[in-house]
Formats: sequence, C-alpha cells, structure tokens
Amino acid sequence: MSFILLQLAQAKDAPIFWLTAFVQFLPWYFLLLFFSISNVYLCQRLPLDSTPGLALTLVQGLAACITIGLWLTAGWGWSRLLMQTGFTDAGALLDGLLAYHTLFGLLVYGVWVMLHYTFLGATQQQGKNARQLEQQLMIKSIELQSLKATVHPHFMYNSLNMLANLSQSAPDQIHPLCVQMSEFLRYSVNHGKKPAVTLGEELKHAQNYLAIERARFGERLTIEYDYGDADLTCATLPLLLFPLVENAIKHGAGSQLDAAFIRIRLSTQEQWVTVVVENSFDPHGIKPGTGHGLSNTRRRLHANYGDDARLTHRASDGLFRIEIKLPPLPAARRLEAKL
Amino acid sequence: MTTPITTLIVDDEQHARTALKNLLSRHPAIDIVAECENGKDAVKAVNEREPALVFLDIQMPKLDGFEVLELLGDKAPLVVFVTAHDDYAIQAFENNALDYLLKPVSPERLAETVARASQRLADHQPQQREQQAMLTDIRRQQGHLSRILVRDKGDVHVIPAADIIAIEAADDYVVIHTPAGNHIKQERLGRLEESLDPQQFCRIHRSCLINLDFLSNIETEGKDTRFAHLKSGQSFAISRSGYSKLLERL
Repeated sequence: MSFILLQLAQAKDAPIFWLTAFVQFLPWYFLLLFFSISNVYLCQRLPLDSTPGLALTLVQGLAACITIGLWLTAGWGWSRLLMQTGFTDAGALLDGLLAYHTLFGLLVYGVWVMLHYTFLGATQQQGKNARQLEQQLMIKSIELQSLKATVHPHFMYNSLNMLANLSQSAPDQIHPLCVQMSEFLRYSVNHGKKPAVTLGEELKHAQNYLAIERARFGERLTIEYDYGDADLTCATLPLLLFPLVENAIKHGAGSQLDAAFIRIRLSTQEQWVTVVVENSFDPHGIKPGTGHGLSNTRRRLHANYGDDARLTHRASDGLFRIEIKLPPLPAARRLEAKL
Repeated sequence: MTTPITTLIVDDEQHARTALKNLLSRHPAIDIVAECENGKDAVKAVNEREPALVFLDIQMPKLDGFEVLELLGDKAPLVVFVTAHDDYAIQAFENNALDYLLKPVSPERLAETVARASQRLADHQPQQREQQAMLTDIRRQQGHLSRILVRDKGDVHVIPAADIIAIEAADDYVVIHTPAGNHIKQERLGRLEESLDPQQFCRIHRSCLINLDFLSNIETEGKDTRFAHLKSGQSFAISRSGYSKLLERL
C-alpha cells in the first residue's frame, strides 16, 4: 500500500498529496480502531468455550462486514467533505485504493477480535481460579467453625461441672460418661478433617453428645432415633449432624420447663441422604439466638454440593423441624476417605 | 448458737442441686428449706417460704437467674449467683459488690460465701439496692427487652414485646395492655421505656407508652388536644411533646 502511495505521490504535487493523505487517513483509521475495540462487547456475549463454532464464525463475520462497511461509508463521507474544502486528491485516495482499505480494515478488525478473546480468556481463567480458591477456603473455614463449636469452652465447662456434680450425687455414672466424652472429643478433632465419613459414625457422634446432655437434663428429656441398619454405611460429610443436634438441645430442651423430646430420623436412597431432626420447644422460653448454627450449615452444604443440597426448616406449635436432603458425595471423596 | 439461715437452692440440673446440698450440709448455719428446678418455682417458693438466702443458677430454661431476681423486686432475699461461664455477668457482680460462685463450686470458696452471707444477714445490711443496680447493668448490656415478666400472685407471665399494645403508668405501677387482657406490674414507665426497643415503642404522654405496630390513626381535636386510636379500639391522649416524638418516628 505504501508502494502505491509512493507511485501516486510521484504523479502528483507531493507535499499537498502527503498532507491530504495525513489529514484524511489519520482520523479515519482512528475511527477503525474505535470500531474494532467496541467489538469486545460482542466477544463477551459469545464466549469461545460455549458458543458453537459455526455460529461464532457467522456472527463475527457478519459483525466484521457491517463494521467495515460502516467504516468505509464514513471514510467516503469524510473524503467528499475534504474535497469540498480543497483537498482535491481525497476522493481518489479512497476510491483508487478501496480494495486495499477494505482488506486492511478487515485485517485490523480480525486482529482485535483475537486480542479480545485472548484477554477475556485470561481474565476468565483468573476469575475461575480465584473462585475455586475462595470456595475451598470457605469449606475449610466452615469446617473449622463446626470443629470450634464442638470443643467449645461452654461445652467443656458444662461437662466438667457435671462430672463434679456426679461425683457428689451419682459417682457410678462418671466412668461411662467420661468414655463417651472422650469419644465425642476424639471424633470432633480427628474426623472433622476427613473428606467423608459414614452416617453410622455421624450418628454415634450425635449419640455421644446427647448422652452427655441427657445426664444434665435428666428424665425430662426423651430422645428417639429412627433409622435402618443399611442407612448407616452411606457416605456423608463429617460433623453434619452435630450442629443440628446442638441446636435442638439449645433451643429445645434448653427453653422448656417440663418434658422435652428430640427425634432424629435418617434415611438413604441410592446414596441420597435425608436427615430429619425434630424437637419440642417453648416459644416463650426462647432467648433470641445468633442463628449461626443454621446459616453455617446452609453455607457448608452449598459449598460442598452446590444447589443440589436442600435444607428446610419450620417451627410451629412448639415443634421445630429441620430437614436436610443431600445428593451422593462425589466418588473421589469417598475413595479418598476409603469408604 | 445463732439462728440458722433459711436457704433456697435454685438450679435446673438435679445433679447440681444434689452436689450443692452436699457441700452446704457441712455448714450448720445453713438450713435448706426448699430446692427449685426452675425460675417460676423459685419465685413462688421465695414468696411462700421467705428464705433469707438464695443460691440462684443463672442459665436456666425460660426464666434465667436475672429474671427471677427482677420478678422478686423489693422482696428479694440475699442472692448468691451460681454460674459456669458468664463473663459479662461476673463483671456486673464485681461492679456491684455481689457475691457469686463459679461451677463446679469449690468447698473453700463456698465456705467464704457462707461466712460473708452470715455476716451480712447478722448486720442487717440490705442488699436490694446493689442487686437492683446489678440488674440495670446487665440489662444495659443485653440490649432491648424482647419480653416483659409479670408476677401474678405466685404465678409468672411472660409477655413478648410484640404482644404489648400499650403501657399506662398508674402511681408506682404500670398497666400493660395486651390482646389477651391487662397485666399490672410494679415498675416505673420511664425504666420500661428505656429498656424496650425505641423503634417499636413511643412515649406519647407522660403516663403512656404505645406500640407503634398497633397505631391505627391520630385524631386532632383542637390546637393541642390529640388522641392516638389503636387497632385494639383503645384511645390514649397525646401530649404536645409526645406528638413531636410521634412525628419523628412515623
């Protein structure tokens, strides 16, 4: 193209000719740059990885033709305007080199499309990595929280206090309770870090905790379990049951003056797990809680299962019911946990 | 031989009561007249037995130890709080020079407490003022009241704040209007106003506090005579300063 320009320049009055070319092409090619950059929105709408190839080529090709067409039209208008203001060569510079301008314009446009896709790909990858890291961090922090709740100082205070009381009132109950407390703590510390556990292990953990609480509440607390032996081999998240059971004690038996009950129901179907925890409570006896237990569980389920996990709860007539339905754990996690 | 100190033990855990009874049995000055497993029974027992000393557990279902003390009001005997873990409460006891015990109770510490209580009761030092000041402290830390407790002879009613239509002052008492009926409580209206949520309750008159959720309309009858009509069908006069307070909230 520069060669042709040189040829033309020799045929005409050179300085005037170069000035015309400069005045005419500089803003016009700037316009091309602007047109090409605005294609980034189209690239965002048509991501490389999820748009079918044919559609992508067609749409981008059509956009290229329209853009370059518009650009050439603008160029034509600009050259005619220049001709009226005395740059007589402007028309010839455009019309004579039209094929070159078109080709060059398409080339510039194409390069920009590639640049956009490269840029978008890079930022997307970065976002993906950041999201993944965030997700992993959240799973870890939620698991840490549930671990902290388990070895909570309040629980330790209450348990030690109870053992001290029992030494005065029922010394023979101390030994079995110490065994259950040790099991409870051991599970919290060791199993909370495992990728997966069986429902049976989870149930045992909840039972240990409830045995300790039952010693505190005495006869006024009734605990019922409902599950089949086959359900206990199913894989699930560690420390899934504990926050629910802890909630049931805190806001259930802990709010009532008289008889209280907790019902725990486990069922599985093709590795899908359903957990239902029901407890009685006294609406007037409830102290406003922080509501952490439930929202943590919800976040934890979401972090592990995405939108497939369901947590529903309702409170009515002195009965609180929470139900969790979970899809099967990923096989990789079960393998890792040797289940 | 001095007269024994009539004592009441309040704790929701059977084992805790037994253990404390065992430890107290080593102190001949203490005469345990009753034990209660919840706040409601404790209020009743204090009314009936009038003990000189109460060992009161803080963490109990429905009514906690502070609420029991509040319900006892001026009739409260000397109280020793018993708690396993309650840092802010302990701070309040320290601030107001009240005695408390930590669970599990150590026999040495219990001996000190019994000695201190005997001394106090022998000197007839009233402790109600410190106990009430401590309650005010605790209330301030706990934020807005979500319910009001009312004693009715031996019984206790818990009224959730949302059920209160209005509260009217009458001498040293207040009348609490609820959809289910009225309750009378010995309390100053100003104190209730301070502890209830100001977003929900508005003092429309020197002698009246209303729940804004129940307000249906305001009627103007002259330059400074206005009435608040409530959804329950009741009406209360609005004073001039009460009207400007109302306008701020609405």
